[in-house]
Amino acid sequence: MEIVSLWVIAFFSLCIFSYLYRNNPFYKFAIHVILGLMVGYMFLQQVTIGLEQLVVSPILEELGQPSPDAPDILIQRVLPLLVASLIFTIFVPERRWLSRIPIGLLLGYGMGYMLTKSLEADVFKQLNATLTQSITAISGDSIFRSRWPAWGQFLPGLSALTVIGLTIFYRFRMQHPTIRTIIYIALSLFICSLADSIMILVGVLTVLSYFFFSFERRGLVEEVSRVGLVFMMVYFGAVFGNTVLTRIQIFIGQVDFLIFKWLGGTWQALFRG
Amino acid sequence: MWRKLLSLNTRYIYLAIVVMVVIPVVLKVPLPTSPSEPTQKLFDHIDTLEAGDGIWFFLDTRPATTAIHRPQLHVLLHHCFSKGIKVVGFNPLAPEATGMGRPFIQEIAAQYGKQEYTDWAYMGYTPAGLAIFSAMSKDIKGLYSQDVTGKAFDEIPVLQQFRKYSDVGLVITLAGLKTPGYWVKYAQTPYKFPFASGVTGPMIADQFPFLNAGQMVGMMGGILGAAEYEGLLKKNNIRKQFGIASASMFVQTVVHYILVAIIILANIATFIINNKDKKERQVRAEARAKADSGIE
Repeated sequence: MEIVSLWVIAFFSLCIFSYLYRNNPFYKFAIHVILGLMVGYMFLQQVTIGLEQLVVSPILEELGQPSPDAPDILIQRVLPLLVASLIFTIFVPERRWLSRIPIGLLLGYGMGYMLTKSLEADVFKQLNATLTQSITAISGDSIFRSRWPAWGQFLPGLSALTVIGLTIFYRFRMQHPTIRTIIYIALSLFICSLADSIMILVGVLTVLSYFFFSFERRGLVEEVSRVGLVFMMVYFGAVFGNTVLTRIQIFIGQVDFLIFKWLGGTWQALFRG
Repeated sequence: MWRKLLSLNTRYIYLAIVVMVVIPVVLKVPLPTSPSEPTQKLFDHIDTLEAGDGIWFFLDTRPATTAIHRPQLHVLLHHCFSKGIKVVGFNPLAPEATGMGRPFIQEIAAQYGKQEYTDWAYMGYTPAGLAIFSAMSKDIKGLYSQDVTGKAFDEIPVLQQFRKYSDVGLVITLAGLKTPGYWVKYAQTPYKFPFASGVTGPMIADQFPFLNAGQMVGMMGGILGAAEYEGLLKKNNIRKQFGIASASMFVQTVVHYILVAIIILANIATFIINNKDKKERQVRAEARAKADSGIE
């Protein structure tokens, strides 16, 4: 039986791959079978688990052998079943309005649930993380802190102090080119140590400006929004690259199946018993 | 020559990819990778759990992404079973994944002598939609009356220990759909429990805001994440050899070299042809201008 299932999977895999040569009846056959199977499988899941296991069986059990949970069964199983059944009144023109009750309940529940949870998870938490990383010099991650956490955390403070100290020294005491070079190096280190935080802040502000439609984007706002576009293109590039990686992995998985499970399994079944 | 290159039948490229995939797949050469921060954090979190603790995993995916989620789940299970951590699996958001979970766990559990129902269980699908997120904070018995094998909930010992979010040491979604966002929004943020994700490639970039905000303790990004986790298992002497994910990374590297080479070649060809056409157009325009001025 196992060998038959291996051959069925291999047949459908090869039918799908045949599309790379050209659109053909084998490909169309495989696509229709897979879609039909998926819809049928999902329908069966909904009926057996959703209706039979969670609704009908508990009600029948309760009818056969009443228990103290009877009011709960009535509220949790019978009442929702009756309300959900109203959706079928959509087929009766005179009573069609009744079908709006379950739809309204579902939409209302969904919207209420979504709105209350989204605010904290998507707005407050993200805003907090963005601002914390952007404002606090030592809380954000950086190329130094992630590689050398022991001393990398002190780098922003040390480099900033060096810049301030040497600038004052350079301005009032000794205007030597070497000191100026050290100031520039310390300034670069300071910027690099905050690169991630600065990048996040600039990214958030510029991308937000791209989606700001309250007035026409002109001048500086237009230029800033272009920077936001660059950030978005980098994101889309990363997503595209990862998509290619995933597609190739799916192909690798299927080739692995065809070589080792299908051909290997068949070889073993035929020649090694 | 360049024009011929640009008009090359794409079937030859497909054929080249097939050949370059088949050979490394047969050779199965592992390519070790150094762990990224999200994978390392996920590993560290699971490593802090003790024997007898529990992990819930959710297969929010479809059979099409088996090649990614099977290696991801396998490395997690190797880590959990080697430490004596108990595992319960679900797929309440993706009915198509019902047939995937149990065989995946059986494969690894057999290697560690772990018993179904006492060390692990797979509950499958339940048609509750968004309601699962709040229902699981109270008791999963309200959602599941039995597991995928048909065994009654009360007869499965492992379920009695881990009935709500606060009972488990980690909830992880292996997602090929946009579900990690739902988990963060509707479950992790209101109920505050350690949450992680194992996602397919296109979804990796979307997970970083959650990681930065501390809404996720770690992440396994695509097959690369699974390969990194395999490297960590080997480094910590949990497994002796690399698995399928590390072998896949070698194939990925070979194929990506070919793709990059093709992209560079196609860009050079387009650049040269465009320049050539531009020059030809200029020459023709000059000749026409000369001819026109001659007539005048």
